[in-house]
Amino acid sequence: MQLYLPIAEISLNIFMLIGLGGAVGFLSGLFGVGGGFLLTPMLIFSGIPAPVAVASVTSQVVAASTSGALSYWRRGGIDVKLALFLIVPGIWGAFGGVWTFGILRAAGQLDLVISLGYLIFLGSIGSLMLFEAARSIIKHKAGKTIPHKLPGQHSWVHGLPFRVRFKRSNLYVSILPVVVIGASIGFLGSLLGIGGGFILVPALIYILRVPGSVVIGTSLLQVLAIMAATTILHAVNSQTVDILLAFSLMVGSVIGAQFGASAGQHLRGEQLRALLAIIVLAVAIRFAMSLLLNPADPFSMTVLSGGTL
Amino acid sequence: MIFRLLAVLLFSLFGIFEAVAQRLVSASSDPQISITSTFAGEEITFFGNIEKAFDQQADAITNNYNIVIAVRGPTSTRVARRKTNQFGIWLNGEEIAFKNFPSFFHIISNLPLEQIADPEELAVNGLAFDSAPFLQPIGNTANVGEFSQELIRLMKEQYLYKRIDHGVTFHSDTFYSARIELPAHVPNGNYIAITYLFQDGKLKAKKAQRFSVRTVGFERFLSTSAKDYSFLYGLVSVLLAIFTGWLSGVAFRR
Repeated sequence: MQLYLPIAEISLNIFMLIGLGGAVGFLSGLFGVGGGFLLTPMLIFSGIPAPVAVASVTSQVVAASTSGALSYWRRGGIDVKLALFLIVPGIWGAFGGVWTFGILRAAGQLDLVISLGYLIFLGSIGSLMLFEAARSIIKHKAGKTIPHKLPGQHSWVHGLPFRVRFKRSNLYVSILPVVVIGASIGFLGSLLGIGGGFILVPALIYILRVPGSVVIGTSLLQVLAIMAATTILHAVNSQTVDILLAFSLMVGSVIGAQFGASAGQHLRGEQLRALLAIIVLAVAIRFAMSLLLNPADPFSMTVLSGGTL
Repeated sequence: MIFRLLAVLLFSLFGIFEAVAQRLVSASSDPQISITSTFAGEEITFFGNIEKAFDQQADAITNNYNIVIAVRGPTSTRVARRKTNQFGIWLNGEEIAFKNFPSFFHIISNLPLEQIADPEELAVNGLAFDSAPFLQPIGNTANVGEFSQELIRLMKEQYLYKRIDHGVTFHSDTFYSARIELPAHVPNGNYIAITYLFQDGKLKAKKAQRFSVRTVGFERFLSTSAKDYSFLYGLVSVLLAIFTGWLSGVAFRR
């Protein structure tokens, strides 16, 4: 059944959209990530204009992170104060991202920056994850027990001024790295159409030493707030949020996520991380190909402004 | 009656009869194409009859007619870009923008256009994708020729530009019909369809009709609110997302 998408101005099969949302939702439930970094590229590859794909996935990420954030909230797994300190600069970052998005779109370089951004972030994070997972799998096979790596108590980050106490996370850190992390995630998320959880979680763990019990929940709340703000910014600034597209994806992804979460219980942590790393790297390679290989068609066209006959 | 006969006699004597020899009566199947949620493209039919002028004798109609129909959609500023390899990366380099560029342009005829009239006659009547009124580059004009051909090619690949050489069918000496297909991604807006009657390479008559392509109902409501009430639209999108997420959290609570 074809569904006409009023903002994208094309018809797509509704079952394909729900299926796409479901597949990405399955993976996000399996790995505990938002899935925006998979969904945006898939939509672009299936013919939806990049600006519409980025803005619509943004609102899909809101739905995906709401159900996750709620379940962490019930378990008390959210440091609300830390989340707020991430959200406020994050919204400023989102303003910057949406503003940059508009400029790049007018200059015809949005696709390039999206491809480069995906290549750099997915490539580096995918490699790191794959390396780390491979190491623990090898150690596991060798029969050694891996000492749970406890992050050191102090790093240069903890020597910075303007320290604030976050009781829930047992932290007393400078707000400078918190503000920088929040703003960067907001900027990247709104520009690339990703929640940024897969960047935020490692940053919270390795830079701020946020304990594992609250890191996912806090990250989900931050992603939820930033993506909600970004959806509104995109709606106002570029009018590219396709609510029907977003809703079809949401329905698929929230259902898929449930199956993914139960499937994830049968796999070991390092296997999951290795799988996720391979998927992340595959998306990065797909973008690298579009940047490095001779394009099938060097010419492209865009409508700058509408008019009437 | 006597007066009219006298007039006909006079006109034929001075040989200016030819200019008003034929009339076109034309119509289309749909004055409005509605885009609904299940819209997957639509066909529109044009038909008409070549009739003698008021003051023409019946036997003046011969069967040597050719019909060309040009259907054009709303115009916009459209930019063509070329990827170039810089520092090993392919990125959009050169670009040329064209203003008043038709977003939809089909030319349907009963014979290949080349057999109907010579290229100048066709171009003057706007029956070529690259005729002057449809290619108005802004600024940079170095590679306009190449870029405009590539832009037309891209439009053809999306079925937005199309030439159908045997698309007009004559059902009698004077009655014709033609069908065009509007693809699913047909642009919204006002369309004009101009029917041209050629005889022996010369334009004899022409008739314009308008129709519009509009989203209707819920889709129209969504696309207009996205433009006119963008903040509210964004807010509703967010609330819908939060509600969907909350609902799934409740429904699948473990």
